[in-house]
Amino acid sequence: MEELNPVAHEIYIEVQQALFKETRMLREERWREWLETMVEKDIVYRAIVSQLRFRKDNRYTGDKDVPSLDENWAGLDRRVAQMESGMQWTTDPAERIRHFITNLEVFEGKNPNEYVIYSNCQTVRNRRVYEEMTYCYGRNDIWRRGADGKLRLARRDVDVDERFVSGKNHNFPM
Amino acid sequence: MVDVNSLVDVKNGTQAKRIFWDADIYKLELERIFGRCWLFLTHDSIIPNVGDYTVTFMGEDEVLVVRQRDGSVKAFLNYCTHRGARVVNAEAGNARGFTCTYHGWAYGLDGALESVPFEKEVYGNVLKKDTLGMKEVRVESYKGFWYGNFDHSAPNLADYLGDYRWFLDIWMDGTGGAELIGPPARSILKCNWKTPTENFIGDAYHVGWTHAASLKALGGPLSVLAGNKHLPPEGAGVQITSRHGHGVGILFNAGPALMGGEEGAMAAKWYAENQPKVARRLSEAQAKYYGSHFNASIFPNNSYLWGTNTFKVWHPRGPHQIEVFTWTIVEKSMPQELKEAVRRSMLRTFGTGGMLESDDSDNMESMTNLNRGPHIVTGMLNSQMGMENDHEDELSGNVIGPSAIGETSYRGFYRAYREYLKAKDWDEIRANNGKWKDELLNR
Repeated sequence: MEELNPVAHEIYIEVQQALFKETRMLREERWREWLETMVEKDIVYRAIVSQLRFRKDNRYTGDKDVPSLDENWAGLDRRVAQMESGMQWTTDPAERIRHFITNLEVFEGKNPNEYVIYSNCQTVRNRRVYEEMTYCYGRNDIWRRGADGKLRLARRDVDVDERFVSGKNHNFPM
Repeated sequence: MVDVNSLVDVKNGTQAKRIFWDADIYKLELERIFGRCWLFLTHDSIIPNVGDYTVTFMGEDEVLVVRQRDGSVKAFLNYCTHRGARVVNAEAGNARGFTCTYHGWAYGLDGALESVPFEKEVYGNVLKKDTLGMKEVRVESYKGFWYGNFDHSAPNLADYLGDYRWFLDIWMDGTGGAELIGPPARSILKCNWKTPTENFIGDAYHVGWTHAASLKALGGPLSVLAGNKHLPPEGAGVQITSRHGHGVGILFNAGPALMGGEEGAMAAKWYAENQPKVARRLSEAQAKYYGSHFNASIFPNNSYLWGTNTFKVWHPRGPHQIEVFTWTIVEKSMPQELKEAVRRSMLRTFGTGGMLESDDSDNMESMTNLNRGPHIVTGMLNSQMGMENDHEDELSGNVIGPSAIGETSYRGFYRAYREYLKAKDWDEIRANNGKWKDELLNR
């Protein structure tokens, strides 16, 4: 793995605040605002579960990645449109989703205006009366600074620990 | 003792709510349905090479499926015949043999017990190794799709699929074969296994309502149904049920279904270009359906959507829970770019993060869980839509409901369900071969 350079303290804090702001925006169901102001148009947004394999098995040719989200900007736009339609009864009454982000590491990216961000996340999702679901995953993000000086999400690779989805589905902002 | 006759009224199109809740009925299902029907295991594309294996379930039994040295496929119960520990802890891989983690008993690819640590020293001549291989399960493939069966008196897979193959071949064979993109996503839903099976087999009715928001957001041919603004026009589709309960609902020329924009256009073009090929390989009549959207289940727990391209097994885990395995299906000859578009669209709609998948699971769980109430679990559920219009389909040999929306395939599924639960063996089921349509057609 190539060596990454950690960013200066003030940038670390700036990135941390951007991540916190993002989760608050999503928690407040401001999906359109999130997509328009915090997401780059060339976004790659993926969530991957890993199939269980023996450590020494290097002969099997099948893919190990099990994607549950593989979206571009247009796909995210459709997901936001679903929520904006006024017809999405599965989130009516509303779900409550709270992200916890920790183990934050921020590095300089390959391009001068980009940052590579590692974090661990635990997300607790409540819906209906009895359903409380917890998801544990890592995130590798790339955030990019635009001409306006603002940070936007350019790539997110979610690495989910749980092999099966016990909490029903991954149809929520990770 | 379960009174099976009270559970399904075929002529009246109703089913007892208890079949989605009661433990004694579930036990009978494991014995008489999962113990004797063909159950989906894997596809050639998942285990292409000698020594490739994958682990799955048949009912609640864990099964190891292995590509043999001669190219054939065998399946075994995934436990050691010594003390019953799991033999393979990975989900898939390539191996030269399988060694139990407990004491190191080692089995070959063919399931034979090959070696036992310190055999001479600790067992002397006691152990009859040739009788202690992994327990084998009968397997057969149809067009590269492998199924297993615990019952050696069951008909072969092709006969079990029977006249339903007329519809299956359209996508499994029409352009030279289909394949699965794996590994499967796995998720737990707290619902009875029959609930998603019946939904996929024949429920075009819920599409415009349950999925209103998703349809509106996604575009594609199905989007006109959003919010029940329109019924599909007369003659827009059909529903089919077959001898062993397999069924399909077809919405004509709606193949790309939920793929809008450039991707939808690419899929539509593919279907249009390949229709003549399907006509040559199969028949003009079958080619007419190529490029349509199929919602379907193969009895008892294997569902698929062709056009939305998801392929699922609903593994039962007790009467109130299932584990879902989900793959993408593509035609082998599709260009890589189209396969990718189809895969992304499947993930967006019916994958574990899918927009429509999460609509359905909410309904499916409440349909199961509410039955804990003794007053709610009493009584019957209704699937009478289109009853008076069902008739024999001379072309395919099945029973057909001549409209896009109806409950023909529900009725056929539960007809077969009752038949399996009642029959003490396959001979009893075979005896009904000439008269299975009678009750459905009320004659």
